Amino acid sequence: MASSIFYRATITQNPAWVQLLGLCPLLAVSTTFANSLGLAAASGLVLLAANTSISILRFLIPESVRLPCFVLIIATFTTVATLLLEAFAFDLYAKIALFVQIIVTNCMILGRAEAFASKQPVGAALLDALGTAVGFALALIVLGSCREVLGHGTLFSDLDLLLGTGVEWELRLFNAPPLAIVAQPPGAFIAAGLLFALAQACLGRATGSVSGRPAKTSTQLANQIDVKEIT
Amino acid sequence: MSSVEPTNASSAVLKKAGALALIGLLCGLVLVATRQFTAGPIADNRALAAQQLYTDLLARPLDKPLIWHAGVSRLCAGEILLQLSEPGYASKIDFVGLWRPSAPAKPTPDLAQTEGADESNNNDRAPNSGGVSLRVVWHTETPGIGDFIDHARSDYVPTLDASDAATWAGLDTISGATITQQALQRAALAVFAEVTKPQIKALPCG
Repeated sequence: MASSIFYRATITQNPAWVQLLGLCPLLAVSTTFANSLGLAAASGLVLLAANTSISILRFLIPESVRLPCFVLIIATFTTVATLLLEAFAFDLYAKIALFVQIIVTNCMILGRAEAFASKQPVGAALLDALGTAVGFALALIVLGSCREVLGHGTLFSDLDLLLGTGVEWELRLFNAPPLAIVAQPPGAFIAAGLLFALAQACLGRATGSVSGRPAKTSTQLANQIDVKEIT
Repeated sequence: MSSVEPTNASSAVLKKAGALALIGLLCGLVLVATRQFTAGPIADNRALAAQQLYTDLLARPLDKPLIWHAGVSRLCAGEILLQLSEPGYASKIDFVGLWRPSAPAKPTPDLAQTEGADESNNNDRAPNSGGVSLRVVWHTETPGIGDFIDHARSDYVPTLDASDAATWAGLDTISGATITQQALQRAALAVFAEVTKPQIKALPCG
């Protein structure tokens, strides 16, 4: 049961490549591995804390005011993540602060709160949040790594901003960027589209689904999750 | 019956308001605790970043902390630093501006006769004859559109360092970021306006 919640949240219902949620920060920040890791950590912290809090408080939150309550809780933990980043990773904060602040509007977090955490016990909500956070981190880090290697010719540049100074992490893989457009905003859409298609193809092969079947929309998926989780 | 319904309705409203207030209180407590825990490191980081910003603007290391008087610091070398805010597209933009006096230019004899200028006036040069450099300290402008004003992301503002009032006033409009660019322009012109004030000139240097 626990492993199925985690696996589903991470792989089969991955927020990025299946549900296409949280794409704004995903595309904007995934220019390097370090930026992706920083946003993944901040989003994961907010998701874990918000899901857990909402699950604990679910009997206290009236149905008709649940959305303001969820947003209040998510905004609180987004502010906490921003403060922690500003206090302990200031250089990274200066680079990605704008995108950390908009975690509050990330539909991935509100979606998990509404569809899962508000209806499930704390343990299940925590596992779902962990799985979703790992799935989002996976998508961010794979996209960030690809964009950094192809767009800049390096990997792990600026990682010292996140992990502390004194160690040089940067690997120079190419003297010149092999495909510089990937580092630019249009390249983010192209790279993300190709990676999501690859993930869908792998996922389809693993689950044995027929290729060419129309993909489900995120609303259909959310409804499907709702039905499964309620029953 | 009719007196029961309003009571039920008002108790439901009270229940919802109470739940919201309680959650708001809990969230507030979490934020206060986090703020207490992070206030010290954040203050240190901001002070260090400000120090780097002033060093970058002045193009020389600061041997002692700047002395600020209501957002203005007058340096003994003649420069004036100002902290100012202008409304941007998303919210206010905080700037720090540096006014640096230009080298005194000797007036041509004709000009001196026409305008009645003399040697003593030449040394007491008009503040707006200098150049202004700006840096953005804090902003929430749209990433990729309005964040060209952020010197960490774009060279646009540093290339305007030490520009005169006419250059700042004549900046070309940036398509898609007009409000942000106008805020930058207003900030630069505000620095020129501020440094002409007698109370600024009267500040002790430090």
